[in-house]
Amino acid sequence: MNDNEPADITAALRGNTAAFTRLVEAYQRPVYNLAYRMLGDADEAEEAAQETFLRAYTQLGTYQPGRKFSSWLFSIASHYCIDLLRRRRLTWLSIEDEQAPAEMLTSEELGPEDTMLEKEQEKTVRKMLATLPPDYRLPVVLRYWHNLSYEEIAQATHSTVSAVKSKLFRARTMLANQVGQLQTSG
Amino acid sequence: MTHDLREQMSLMLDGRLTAQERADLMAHLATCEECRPQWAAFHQVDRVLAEAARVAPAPGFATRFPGRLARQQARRAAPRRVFAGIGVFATGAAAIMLLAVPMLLAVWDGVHDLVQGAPSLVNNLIVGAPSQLIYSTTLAARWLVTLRALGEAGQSVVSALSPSAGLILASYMLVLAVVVLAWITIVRGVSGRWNSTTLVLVWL
Repeated sequence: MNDNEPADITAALRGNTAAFTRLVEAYQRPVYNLAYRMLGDADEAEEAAQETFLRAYTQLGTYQPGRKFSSWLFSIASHYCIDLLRRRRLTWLSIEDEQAPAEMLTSEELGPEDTMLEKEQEKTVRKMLATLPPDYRLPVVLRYWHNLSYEEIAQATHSTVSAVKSKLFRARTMLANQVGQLQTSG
Repeated sequence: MTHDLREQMSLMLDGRLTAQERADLMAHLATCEECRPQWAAFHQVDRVLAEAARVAPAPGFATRFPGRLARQQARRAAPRRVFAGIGVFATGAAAIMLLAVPMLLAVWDGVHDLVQGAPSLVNNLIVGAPSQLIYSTTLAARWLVTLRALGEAGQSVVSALSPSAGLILASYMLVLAVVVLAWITIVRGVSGRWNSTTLVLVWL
């Protein structure tokens, strides 16, 4: 959170769209990253992230100042992505489907071999996440890509710490059963 | 004896064990042939996910947001414009009908005089027509009779109001003015400003 965030939120509540756009600039990457890891497609993640900020703008009056703004955004993004996946009646993405990969934040100092390795690792990660049901995928994404605690994940997902603990354990169990196969199959 | 400590392994990966619990688990893993492969798989999953890159949106993400917000707000305003359009139509129709009342009364009055003054025409149409035309002429005669009744009713209304015709006329003009002003207000509210279209509508 930057020092201007409370002022930007207050201004946005009064209809200042420029102030809210500054909030979009500040949180676009984590929100987009969550959407991408949940949906697995760059175009859909763009749509989901934009929709998240639209909903945040219209629902800004419900934001409680004592809460981390990022957690509140994650909550909106999480529900949108989960609802989207449920509407499609898919419990997980098809590994065979062509999805648009997102731009990775890679170091410019990496050589071609390292870049290729990163791309292979990214492919493995996408396949791993694709095997998880959305309800298990979400706490994994929030834990590994956003470093949220069990309590923060529970708050963002309107769940309990016990449920978060259980879902992370079951997700890891599922992934542990497959990770060797996924890495050798490439 | 089989045992399953994978849940403890998961908690350790998230830093949820106490120092003592962690030490106990690590000591067990060092010696247990059953748990070690499970821990290796959990640790590999953790490493792969922890090393995964963060992804970025396409350039210009934040600059695309204001346009999208404007489109959403425009979509939400569309129903209000529909209701405003209905308001324009309804008040405009009411104004036209009010303007038409005197003319309609005059027409009724004229029709009444016409029918009143030609009863023989009606009777001859009914009695003198050939048999195959009786139905159609009877129907026409019934319409004429109905018009005559309407004319007589209109005549009665006009007669009843004539003692206070001045007050009635003033009230009528006031109602007409209110309706027209409401119509102008709604038209201006929908268009947002005075422009050529608004002026044409007002003039009409």
